[in-house]
Amino acid sequence: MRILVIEDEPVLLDQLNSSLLKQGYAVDCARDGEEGLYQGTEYPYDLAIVDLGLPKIDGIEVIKQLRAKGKNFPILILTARDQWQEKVLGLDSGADDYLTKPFEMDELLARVKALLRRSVGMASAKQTFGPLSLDLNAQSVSLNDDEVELTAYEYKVIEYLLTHPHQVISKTVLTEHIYDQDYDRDSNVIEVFVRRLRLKLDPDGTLLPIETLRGRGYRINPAIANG
Amino acid sequence: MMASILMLVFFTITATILDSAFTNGAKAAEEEKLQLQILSLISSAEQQGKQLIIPTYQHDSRFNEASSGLYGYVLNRSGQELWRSRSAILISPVTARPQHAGKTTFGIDNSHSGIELFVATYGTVEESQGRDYNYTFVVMQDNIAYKATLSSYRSNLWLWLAGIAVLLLGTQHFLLSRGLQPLYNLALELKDIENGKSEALSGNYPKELSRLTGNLNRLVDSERKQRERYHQRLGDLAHSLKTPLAVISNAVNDPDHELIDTVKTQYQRMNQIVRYQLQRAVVSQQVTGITKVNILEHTLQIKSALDKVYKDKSVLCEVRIKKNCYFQGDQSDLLEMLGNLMDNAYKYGAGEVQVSAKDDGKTLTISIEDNGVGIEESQREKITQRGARLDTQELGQGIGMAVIVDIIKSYQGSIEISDSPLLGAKFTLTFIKQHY
Repeated sequence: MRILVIEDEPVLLDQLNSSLLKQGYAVDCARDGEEGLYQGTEYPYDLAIVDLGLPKIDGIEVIKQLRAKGKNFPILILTARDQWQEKVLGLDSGADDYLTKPFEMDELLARVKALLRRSVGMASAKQTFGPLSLDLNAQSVSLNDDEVELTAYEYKVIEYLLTHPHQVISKTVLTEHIYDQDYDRDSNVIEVFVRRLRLKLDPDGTLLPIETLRGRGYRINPAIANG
Repeated sequence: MMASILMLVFFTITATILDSAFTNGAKAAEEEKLQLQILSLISSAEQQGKQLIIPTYQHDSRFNEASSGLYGYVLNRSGQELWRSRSAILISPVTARPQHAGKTTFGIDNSHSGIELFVATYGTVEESQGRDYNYTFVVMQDNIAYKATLSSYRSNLWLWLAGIAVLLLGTQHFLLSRGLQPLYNLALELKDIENGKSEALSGNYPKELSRLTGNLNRLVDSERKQRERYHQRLGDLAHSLKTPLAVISNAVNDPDHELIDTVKTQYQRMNQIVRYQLQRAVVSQQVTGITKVNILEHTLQIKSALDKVYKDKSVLCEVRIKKNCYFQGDQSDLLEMLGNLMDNAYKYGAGEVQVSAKDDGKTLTISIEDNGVGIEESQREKITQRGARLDTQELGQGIGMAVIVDIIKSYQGSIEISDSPLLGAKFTLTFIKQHY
């Protein structure tokens, strides 16, 4: 999952960046509204965290323009103002949730998780796909209730595929959502992850959880996609 | 000042008009007098053959005395002098010209040094033995008397006008200064308020000004209260931050102390204090009630915001408010009250919220209810007291309620907690409607 953080306070931006990275998200940072709007428009994100008081372009305006450009990833607002007028204004402009400063990092991470989960249409953090189950909070995948040991990147790939069932996901899309923009892309890596995931999740070769659609990408096997 | 200048201009113009009217009148009177003298000369003259016979001594003795000031002459058709009165030994009718019969002239002769003369002429025809003889009678009179009259008139005129002007200016000044005295006093009193010598304007003003002074007093009063409040808030803030700071300071100096936990708790406390005081500072203290805010519109705004935030909970929020229901006051205050109460209902309710508003012309009632566990009766009063916190685990819970209570208080409204038919808590806000 790739997250865009737009925040002008360098220390807070740094804290947000490292906390989100620790959770396994790919993170891109922007220090003003203009930069944030550009990145939000140009790259595919799964979520954005937007501070309302931004230089160059105000946070509200950034959100409005992103929405106007058809970007519908969830947006979490950070604001120093604790008034309802401000909250209503932000949520009206197209944001999905707000947090007032100062906030606890755990609270922010919980909101981020909830928003991401909501955006992929999952009612709860846990979801089952046949014998497989995904726990977004624990960031784990279980096979017949036994947790499968996965590396961070393996988890990211299967998480993305499982949260987008019934969709064919190209290698490019997977790369974009798993790595931040500074990553030097090599699509072979994805193939390696998928191969390893198949071995770990389906050691007998009977479940076939990930399908390859030649020239198009990967898809969760429709047989298990419905749970 | 302007009025005085206008008055001076007016008087000058009046004086000029009066002066010129009088002068013209006096001149006309002189002309008439001279024409009468001419007629008396004519009546004394008698045509005998070719000769015009005029008695040497005239009825008006001034014609007979040398240099009396009244002089008579008779000219023939070609302008030759045929006769002059005894008075006119030294003075000749330099400017007089022969006139056609029946024609009169009147003018001024300045050709004699030292005196100015009015000159009147009259052309006449005498008939004798079938022949007509044209004569021009001339009468001249020095204008000493005329000038004396004129100057006496002028000095009288100016004296009176000046007197009236002074009187009017004096009256004007008196009335103005009397009329403006309250404004002058007002300025002085305002200065006193500015310097802190006084707190309000006294009530001793004419009723034309009492509305103004009343409004000024209200303004000054609310300004002062605002200032006091800021002062108090600042003091509150500083003092309330001192305790957590002291706790942290002690913890730092105690080597055995679990510093992180202490800092965390005290940070939470300080955060709460700062948020509360900030919130209280922005609550509009200036409650005029003149602005009207649509309740339905703002409730729906909050609802759509909260529907997003509590999307997971899929709360069913029912709004029962008529379109024409208004809150008399500040928009941000209404949003703050609705926002905090509806947020609580979404948070603590079990998925059902109802917001309603009723306006019976005298009072406005806004209720927010939910289907949560409700609030125990023993707790209710505590909650409606400012600053009270029900749940110490929920950061910021007490702040919202305290802010609501602050706002309601500033509108002289009231808040009541009761049981909702939805089985949860019901918060009812009541405001007396103001009529302007």
